[in-house]
Amino acid sequence: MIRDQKHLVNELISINRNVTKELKRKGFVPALRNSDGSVSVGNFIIKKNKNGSFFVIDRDGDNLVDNINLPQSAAILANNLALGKLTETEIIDMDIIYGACMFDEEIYKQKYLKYKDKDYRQAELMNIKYQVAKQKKEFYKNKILSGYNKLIKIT
Amino acid sequence: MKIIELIEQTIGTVGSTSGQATSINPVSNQPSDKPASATSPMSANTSTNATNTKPLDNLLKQNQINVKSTDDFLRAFDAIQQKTELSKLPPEQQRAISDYTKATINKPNLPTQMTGIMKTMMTSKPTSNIK
Repeated sequence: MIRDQKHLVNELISINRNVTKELKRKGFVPALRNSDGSVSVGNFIIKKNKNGSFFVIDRDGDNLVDNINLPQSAAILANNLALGKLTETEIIDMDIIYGACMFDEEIYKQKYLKYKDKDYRQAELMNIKYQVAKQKKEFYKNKILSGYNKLIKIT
Repeated sequence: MKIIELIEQTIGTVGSTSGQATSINPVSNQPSDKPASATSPMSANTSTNATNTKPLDNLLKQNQINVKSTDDFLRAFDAIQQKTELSKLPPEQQRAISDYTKATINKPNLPTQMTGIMKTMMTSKPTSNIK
């Protein structure tokens, strides 16, 4: 009986290894949840900052990329790093633009609300800038999400 | 459990950056002339390396965005991204954001330039650190 169980465990380990290998070949490194709430992707760990942004550290605890705005960007980045694609930084670029648009959207929105009842011309200008920043932010968010969805589809 | 569920449960819902998180790098919104208990990840990245902030420093000066230090602007940037009200920021940071808004009206490509500099600031670190 014990021998059967051991055999079963070995079979499961073997299947697990094969699945992990196959997923890696397709471009996906399985993620694991750690006890501290972080996520490990291969040798890289995704953690969350107090301000809601994310950062990726390596096995030695060295901080590789800070201030990642979207969790999906962090997941894609960690997956790329775990696959050894160290130079694919396009996702970081998109996330930074997303963050900058988020900043612009917020300041123009607040300025628009400030000028709304005081200065029509300024309010209109701020509203246009607010709408442009908002659309740009959505565009980059969708780009990142589509990359993330492609990654998830592999599984 | 599906992998997407695992990722979402652990690091947040798809498309959301809000929510409670564990404190790893606490953000300080203190002006640079006051002793800060901790620095934001971005300012930690930049204040330790003066050459990193120099391009941003120059850009702010060129566009007459008056800040005591570039870190003040970066702290304001972080705070605004977290949807902090402008009126709740320290006066130096409020002035910097005001100057930035004025500058973007005269120079619409300023945000693009700034994003480019931030990209360099952020990506210069990982490439040198990745083993």
